[in-house]
Amino acid sequence: MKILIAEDEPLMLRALELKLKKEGYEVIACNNGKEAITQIGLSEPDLIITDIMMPFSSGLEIVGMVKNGINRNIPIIVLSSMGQEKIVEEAFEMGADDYVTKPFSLTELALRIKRFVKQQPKVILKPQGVPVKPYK
Amino acid sequence: MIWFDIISGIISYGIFLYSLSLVIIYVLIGIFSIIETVRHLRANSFTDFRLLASSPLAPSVSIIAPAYNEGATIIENVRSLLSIYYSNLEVIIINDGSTDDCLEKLVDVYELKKVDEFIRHAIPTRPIRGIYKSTNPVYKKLVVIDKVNGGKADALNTGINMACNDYIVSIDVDCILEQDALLKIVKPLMDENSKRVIASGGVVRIANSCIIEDGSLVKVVLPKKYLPRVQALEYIRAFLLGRMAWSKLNGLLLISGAFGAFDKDLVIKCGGYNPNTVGEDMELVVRMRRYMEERKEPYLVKYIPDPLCWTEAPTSFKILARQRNRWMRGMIETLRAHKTMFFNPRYGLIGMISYPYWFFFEMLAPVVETFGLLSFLIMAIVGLVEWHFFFSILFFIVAFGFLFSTFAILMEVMSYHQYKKRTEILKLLLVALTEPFVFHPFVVWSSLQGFVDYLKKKKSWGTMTREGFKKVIVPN
Amino acid sequence: MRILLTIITCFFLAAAFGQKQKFIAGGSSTDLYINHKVASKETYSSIGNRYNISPQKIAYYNNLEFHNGKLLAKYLKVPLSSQNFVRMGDTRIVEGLTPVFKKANGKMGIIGYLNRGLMQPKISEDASREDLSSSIKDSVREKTTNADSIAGPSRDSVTMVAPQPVVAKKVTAVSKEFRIDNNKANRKRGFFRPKEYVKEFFSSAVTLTVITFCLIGLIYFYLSVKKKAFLSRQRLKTHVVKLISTAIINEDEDQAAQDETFELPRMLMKQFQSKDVRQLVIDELIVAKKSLRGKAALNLVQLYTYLGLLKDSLEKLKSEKWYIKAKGIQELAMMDQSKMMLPIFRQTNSKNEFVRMEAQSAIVHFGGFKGLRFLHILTYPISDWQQIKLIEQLSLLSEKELPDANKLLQSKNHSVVIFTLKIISVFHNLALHDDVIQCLHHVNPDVRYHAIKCLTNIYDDTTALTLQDVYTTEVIRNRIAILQTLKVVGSTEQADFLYLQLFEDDDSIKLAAASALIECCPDALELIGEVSSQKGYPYTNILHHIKEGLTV
Repeated sequence: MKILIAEDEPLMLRALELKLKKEGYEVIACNNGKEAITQIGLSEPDLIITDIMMPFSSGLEIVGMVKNGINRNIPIIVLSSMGQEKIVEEAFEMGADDYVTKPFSLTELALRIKRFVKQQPKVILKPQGVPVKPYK
Repeated sequence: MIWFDIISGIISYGIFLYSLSLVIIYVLIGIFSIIETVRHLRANSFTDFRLLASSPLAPSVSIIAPAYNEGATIIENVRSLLSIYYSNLEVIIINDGSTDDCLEKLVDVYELKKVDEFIRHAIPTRPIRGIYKSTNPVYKKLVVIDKVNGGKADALNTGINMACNDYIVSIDVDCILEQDALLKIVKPLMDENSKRVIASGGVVRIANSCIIEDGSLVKVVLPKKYLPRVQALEYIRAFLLGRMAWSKLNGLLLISGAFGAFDKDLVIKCGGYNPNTVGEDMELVVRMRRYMEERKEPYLVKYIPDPLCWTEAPTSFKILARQRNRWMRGMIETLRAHKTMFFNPRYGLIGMISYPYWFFFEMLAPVVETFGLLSFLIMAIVGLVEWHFFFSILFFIVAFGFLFSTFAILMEVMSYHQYKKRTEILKLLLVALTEPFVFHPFVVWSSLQGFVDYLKKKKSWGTMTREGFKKVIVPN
Repeated sequence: MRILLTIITCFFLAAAFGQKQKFIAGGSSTDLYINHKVASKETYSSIGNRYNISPQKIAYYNNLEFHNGKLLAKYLKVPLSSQNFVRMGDTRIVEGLTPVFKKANGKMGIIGYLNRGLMQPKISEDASREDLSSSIKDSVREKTTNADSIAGPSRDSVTMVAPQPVVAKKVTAVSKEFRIDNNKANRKRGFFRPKEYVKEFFSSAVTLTVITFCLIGLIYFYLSVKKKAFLSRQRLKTHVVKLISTAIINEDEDQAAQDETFELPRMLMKQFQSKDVRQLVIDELIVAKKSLRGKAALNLVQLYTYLGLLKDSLEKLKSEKWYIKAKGIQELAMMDQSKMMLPIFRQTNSKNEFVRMEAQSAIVHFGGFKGLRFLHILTYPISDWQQIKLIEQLSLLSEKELPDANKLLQSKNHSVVIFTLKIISVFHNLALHDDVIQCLHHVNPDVRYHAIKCLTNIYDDTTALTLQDVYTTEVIRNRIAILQTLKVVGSTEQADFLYLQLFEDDDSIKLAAASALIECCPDALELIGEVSSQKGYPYTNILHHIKEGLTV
């Protein structure tokens, strides 16, 4: 089980990585949106955890790209300090599977991930590599 | 004989006084700038701007970006505008009658559809051909207005008419914004209670040679060519020292057209941008200030020294000349339009200090300089120049100018430190040495031509020429 | 800023002040003349004017014929006679004096003054001439071994200076003193002449250059220090991140086992004496604390106290400097040090806005809505920024009720009233409806605006009518706000009122009224359609706009 984490704060990234490794997952850590997008294409994670406010590409963009092109079956958990209805709604509208507001509890996050592991379909679709128009 | 002596005496002492006061002003600017920058840096050390991005209570903002024949880059630029994090945001792109495929590209990529929306006519503008919105919810913040060509000010006014939000942020569509530029420029709008903040602006820097990917800045590099490099220095000096000091006094007369936030209600009350001037950004700020001064309402024009916006500087002498020519004309037009403020105590600090400063030391400067140079040349030919006096005063002034530039570089290094390499700093210092002999005379010459052009064209100034917007970011 | 503008101005200066050029005499002491370089367009008359001598005399002196046209000669000798020349030591003190120099024995010295005829030569009795004459006298006295018994620049003494026959040769012997004295003399003469400050200009230029080089040195020194600090910070940061992240995921309940994971890596131990390093750790802890809650957050606080960082924060709280104090308060709040509540509470009305803001945030962090009691004693305004910050903090809490809100709505501090209205609005405190209605009659239009906005979230059956009542007396901004609120709270009862507003002058009001009408009245579309067919623009556009809104 591979999990990709996109988070620009090195300390949080590291903590998440440690925690998830401890839970027995394989972790790909990216510290900005752009790196995350390339990594999603390269290493085909089974789950993505992403922050919203990151340099270069926002988390919502990642959600949009994954859900509209790369592979709509990868579950995405959005992790953000922005807890306003409007943004949460927007994230879900774009196809996010879950939304966790900072400050969050690591244990809770781990439990949410577990839920997705169970849901995960056996056959993982290969990425089609045909992104939608605006992203060239 | 006696009259000649008296007149030449008056002129000589006048000019001496002029130079002396300029030197004193620069010293004061340096001092004020230090005080204000230190305060700003300290205050910002515990401010979390991100709060604003998501709060529903944050002031609502409409970004207004006029575009004229930007087909090559428009998609990228709009994309970077749309990726700004801000919850109460709308992005209005105004296609000012482009002759290229700018609009078609936008419609195509952003899945735009013509809509029948109502647009206020708070400010008269040229006719609108259509309003477009995206059918894709991802781009719901985007509004594109297609209109008949009418120049930058007219396009901005159309955008203001369309804007639904409380504040407008005008922006040059080809500028590269810092990640949190919008948050930083909006924050000052909310700092005050007793005074109304009517506008806020930030630092514009030179983007030449910088590494830019997908419309965002990846690495800051000092421009490789001479001209943009001097301008990089010029901008550092103007924004880090000049503007900062003026903002301390609340005497700013100019918010860069490249990136500035304004109170929409007030802009509309003042009648929006003036389409009959080439310096619409300065004109608007002056008019807004004048409006507030005349109503005796307490207000502020805020400025933050954070680098927010990166722009491409002219690399050829020809384009630079055209740019400075425009700045000069814009400045004269603005100052002329508001000449009642000149040494008018009714306008407080603006009338007594800011306006006269601009009049004497910005507008008249090239004239005085050229006059000085000409009389110098004549007297040198006649043999009336006392050389050792000349050289010591020249030495003094060059040393002073260099000191000032060095001081600006020091401030840059100590505050935001954009140019990380030591060699870059060295190059900046070298440029500071050559500036007075290469770049400066050229700028003076271009400004003077602007002056002359202004005098020539004054009569036939009615219609705007159909030229694309050149950047109108006066750094002084 | 045209920083280097003066550069060319100084060319002019040099020219302007340089034009009073040095006159150097030639010839013998009895037959003195000045060699004049003829400029184009100069004639005998203009030269004569300049030297205060008849043009014919010049022609004669040069063995040339007088004429009024262009001069062919490149140089002309201009004779110095008693008419235009005052010899050194002469008692006649004259207006428009310009020193005349003569070279003798390889040294340049003043031999007298050119009288350019600005005024007739006269014996000095004028008090305003005293300075000059006394200084001349001084210089003369110096070489006459101070024998002169007359001291002080009294009127009599000036005229009493013995007319010494000073000839060029004699003067040159003491030329040095003369020049200095002469400089001083000129300076004393009331008028400031920049030209005489050549040396000062030069030396200040040198000083400026030295300062510049010091600054350059400073820049490079700073750069290297910064780079070093940056590198060591980077290195440290990886250790700190490691330390904190392991602490975060620690799940041991046992204190001792926990302390073990908190143990500083050896690398950090040494550096931990340094304040900067400790600050780095605090900053990182705060970053993590902002994003985490639950056990992980507790771990962070424990690490903070275990490492003794609390002491640093407390020290900052006591600091006199506002930015340090504010930082200290922020740290204590982030690390949940609620026992410091009292000293921090005292700072909520601090005169420094940053200390005040941090203290307020801290108190809300500790006490939630109860913490807001500082609003009762607050005399300074709360900025919009601070309001947002506090509301964001409050929105994280489970409770939703602001105690004593009705009292706060009557506060004299208008920003407190606005803030309270915002809280009521955000947390939908319906119970306060009547108190908010009271605020519609507040003196401050901003307060009224926020009251109107607030009513959108806490309205009841009577709200719409009350708003309709205050409408006519409101300013435009508030009118639009009322219409927008009516869109939500209005009913068919408001239809007539809203219909009337369609005919207001302001376009924004028309639009707001139309969109409110659509919500309040079922047949609004037909109504607006009717108006649009009668009046055309802008109603047609408004109609389209509204239809557009309905389809989305």
